[in-house]
Amino acid sequence: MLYVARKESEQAQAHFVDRLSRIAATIRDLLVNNGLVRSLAYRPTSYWPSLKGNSYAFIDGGVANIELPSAAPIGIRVGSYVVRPGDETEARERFNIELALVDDLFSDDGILFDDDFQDIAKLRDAARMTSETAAALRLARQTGADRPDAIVMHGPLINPVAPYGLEGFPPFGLAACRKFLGDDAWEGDDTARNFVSVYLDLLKALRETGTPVVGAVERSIGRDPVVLRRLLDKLQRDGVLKKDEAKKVEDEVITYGLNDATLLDVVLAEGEYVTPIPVMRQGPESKWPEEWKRWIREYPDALTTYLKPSALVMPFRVEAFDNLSDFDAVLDLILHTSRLLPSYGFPVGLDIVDKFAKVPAWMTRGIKGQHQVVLLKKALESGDPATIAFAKRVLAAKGRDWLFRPTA
Amino acid sequence: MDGSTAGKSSKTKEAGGVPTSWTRIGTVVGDASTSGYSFILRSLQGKLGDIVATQVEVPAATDGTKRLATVWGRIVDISRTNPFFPAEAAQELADQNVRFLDTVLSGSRDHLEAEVLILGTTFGPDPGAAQLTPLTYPVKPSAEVFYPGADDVRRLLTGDDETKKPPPAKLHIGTLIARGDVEVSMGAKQVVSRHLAILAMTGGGKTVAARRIIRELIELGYPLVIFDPHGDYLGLAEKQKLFPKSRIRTWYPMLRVRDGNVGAVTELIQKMGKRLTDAQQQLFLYLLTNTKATDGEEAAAFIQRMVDHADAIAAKKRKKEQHMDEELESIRLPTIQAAKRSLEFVLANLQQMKGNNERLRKQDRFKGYDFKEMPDPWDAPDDIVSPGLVSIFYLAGYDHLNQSAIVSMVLEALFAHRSTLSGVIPPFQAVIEEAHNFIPSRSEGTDETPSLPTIRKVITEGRKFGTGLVLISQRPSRLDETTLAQCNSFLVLRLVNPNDKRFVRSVMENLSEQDANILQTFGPGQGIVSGQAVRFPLLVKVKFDEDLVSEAIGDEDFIAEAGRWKPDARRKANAESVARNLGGERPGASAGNAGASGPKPAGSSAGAQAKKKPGRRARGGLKPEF
Repeated sequence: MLYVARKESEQAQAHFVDRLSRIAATIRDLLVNNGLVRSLAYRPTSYWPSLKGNSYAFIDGGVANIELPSAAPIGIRVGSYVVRPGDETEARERFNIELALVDDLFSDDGILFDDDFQDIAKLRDAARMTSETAAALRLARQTGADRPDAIVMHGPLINPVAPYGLEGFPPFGLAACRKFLGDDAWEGDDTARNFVSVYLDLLKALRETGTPVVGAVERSIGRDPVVLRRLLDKLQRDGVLKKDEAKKVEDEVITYGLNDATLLDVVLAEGEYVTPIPVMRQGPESKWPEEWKRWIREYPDALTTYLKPSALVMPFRVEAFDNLSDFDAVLDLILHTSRLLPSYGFPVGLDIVDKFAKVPAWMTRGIKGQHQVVLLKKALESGDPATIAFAKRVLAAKGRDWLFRPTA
Repeated sequence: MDGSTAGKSSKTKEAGGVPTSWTRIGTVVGDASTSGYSFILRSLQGKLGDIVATQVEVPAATDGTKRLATVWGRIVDISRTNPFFPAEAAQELADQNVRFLDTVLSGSRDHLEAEVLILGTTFGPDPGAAQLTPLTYPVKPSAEVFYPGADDVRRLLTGDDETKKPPPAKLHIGTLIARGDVEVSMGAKQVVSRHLAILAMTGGGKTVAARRIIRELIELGYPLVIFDPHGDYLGLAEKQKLFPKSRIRTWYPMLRVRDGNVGAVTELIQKMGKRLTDAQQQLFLYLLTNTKATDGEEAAAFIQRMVDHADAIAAKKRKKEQHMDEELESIRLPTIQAAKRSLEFVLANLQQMKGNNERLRKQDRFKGYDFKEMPDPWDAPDDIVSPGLVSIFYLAGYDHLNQSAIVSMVLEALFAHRSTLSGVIPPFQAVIEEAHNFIPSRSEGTDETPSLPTIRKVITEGRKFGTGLVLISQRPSRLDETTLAQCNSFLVLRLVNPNDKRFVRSVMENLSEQDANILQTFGPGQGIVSGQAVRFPLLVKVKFDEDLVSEAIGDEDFIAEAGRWKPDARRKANAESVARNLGGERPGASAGNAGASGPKPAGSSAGAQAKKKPGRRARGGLKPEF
């Protein structure tokens, strides 16, 4: 295998590079010829002073990862960083924990979900996405001087919800829903309190505020070049690209396993971005749970682009609602905030709020420690040797752990 | 902190035993030990040098009983980090010349972590009444840290002194740097018996600090002997009216040969002379031992008689007289001349330095001063040391060697009186300014310094006989380490030189690395006081005694003096007369001057190019320092 790798590698790599440059050249031509590439100038000395009087909010959530055999607590908090460039007073910066939610799935009075569910990771994701959007809504609804001129969220603005429409996926508690939606009088049945519907309500409400809200996606995972596909569709719809040609380009991209970010990294130059295009983020309808199709259909498209802040860094995805009137202005902000971190190439405001909202390890350890103490105490109170032994075992290690392995 | 919470009595207690007037300023974090801990400091609630307190339960016995201890500490370092402000953003701001405030970057979430050096613990409600004891159990992470009231800190610094009858004498030196409301004093007893070193770079405030301590000692009526190479302390005499109970005398040095110091004088003459061959040295020793010194005779007169003696021997040699001492038979005439020249050289130097000192004393600015020749320390020590008497020896004009010899002779005699319990003089304190010239380190050539063994002896044994020293220096690393290490108290002001800082750390056992690091950041008059004269090391701001600033000896304005300078008209007239009447240039006149006087007369080039004769070494090769 090593022999073959050594013999064939050079040729394979040379071929890949050759094909990649051909694909990139083709796509760049298609985008440039049809006005689908735009450019922003990096002009920090004039740009930053021009923002004086505005305020910008950055939002991110932090999740505590605690896993115990006896409990699966969820700890989420969403932080915001609101900053007023040019303001020299104490009011220039405002850090706030917009939401802090703790829930134990096995707890009857948990405030987040009404019932249990086996896939804890999905519960956490659903809770995080909802909380972040709820925090954005809270800020977007502010009025007067407190209303941000733009809100930048860490991650997609609109997430796929079909994976959460599973049978038995518990609805949020009533208190949680009221908190998310900022409405103490809100009422709703199990269906209305389910993630798919609550998240949809939040997105709709957020869109209606009119406040510019965007999501910046740090790492685009998945191999499907969704944005490219939409661009090729557009060219076909506009009658400027034949179906065969579009298919040829798409096949070539898929053959070499290129996703939007890797492809656009070689296509875009510094400060360039793809003309924002609406992307439906919910995947093929065939994979939608039947009972949730009605709601999923209502999910808005994400006006999507990729921005390459500088030649040194990969482009990243930026999503907005389709009613955003001046996407270019927000992208200008994204470009300039990203250039403040030249090596990282991602909005510095999100880096700041990420550090602020992150649940630190000591806090996670503390929560875990408390749970462990309670578990052992209850086991000891039971007086049953088998229960005590079980408690000790699960606290020391899990299952067939290396600790119990026989030695030679 | 502005100390607004200060002054409250520590009577009112919280449940945990901390007075309610104490302000919470942070929480202990990280690894704590019995010698120090770190805490997260609330913004603008504490600063470097502040005395802080926390509480910890310590085991009282092995049976599990415990006591609540108040742990006192001093903030020795504060670090400030802002994880929300990445370095690469700072680089970008600098590169692009963008103002931080105009961007979306965050500057408000900085994090202050203070490092505390533990000073000791107290038990019970009153820190002052209790004995400060070492901490025996570490501080607890998560414990609260407090900013104590000024009264409590003051009592901590003074211990139970205020309750003693009579209270022990104190030397007030200033206030804590961090808290102007807390005064700092040194134990007078510890300073006068166990010696003090004041170390600072030039401009660091060592003279101000020394004057402060001297003033406090004067007010206690304690006898003082000040060796003053530059006249820094002469101003005290000018301010005599401020010290009605004391007498301040200014002495000028006079080297006299006494039975008790004949060895020191002969050694000085030897050291001041030129390098001699073995034969010349033999004759030199012959002259020293065979020229009888008269008790009380001026050293210069004694040397003159040695020269005369050498002349007499030379005359005898010329006449080829047969009756000569056996030791002189092998001595040749040139050897005698060489030894004589060396003596003449010493004599000339001594006379020059004496003249220098005299000229300095006669300057207009010293018009009101009453300089007197120094009394004989062997015969009349009580003229130098007596209750309420301050003796200032003005050593300016003499070179280091002579200054050192004078200090050696005076101290040797005074100490002898104390150590033999002669009952003639009371205990006293000697202040030695520019101590690096009197107790130099081995690398400075200690063989040349007569005062080194004397000071070593005094600093080692003086405690038993009431002879204390205050050593003052601007170059600590040039001081003799053994001698300096005998000082039990230190007042260290601004020091920048790395060698000096390293040296100070090596001799001050309780100076932490953090303290050593802040030495260079001190402003004038700010420093650290440590040792037996205080309960624990403290950062102090030395009180500036404005009323002691001399009107005669202020900072000279050389710029103004140069501006006012008028060349001596007679010198100019004389030079012009010689030039006019005798014509031409003096042989050996500089080329620059020749060029300036126009075309050279014929034949002058030969004169200018003539090879210079090697001249004799000019007299007065040792230049006195002013």
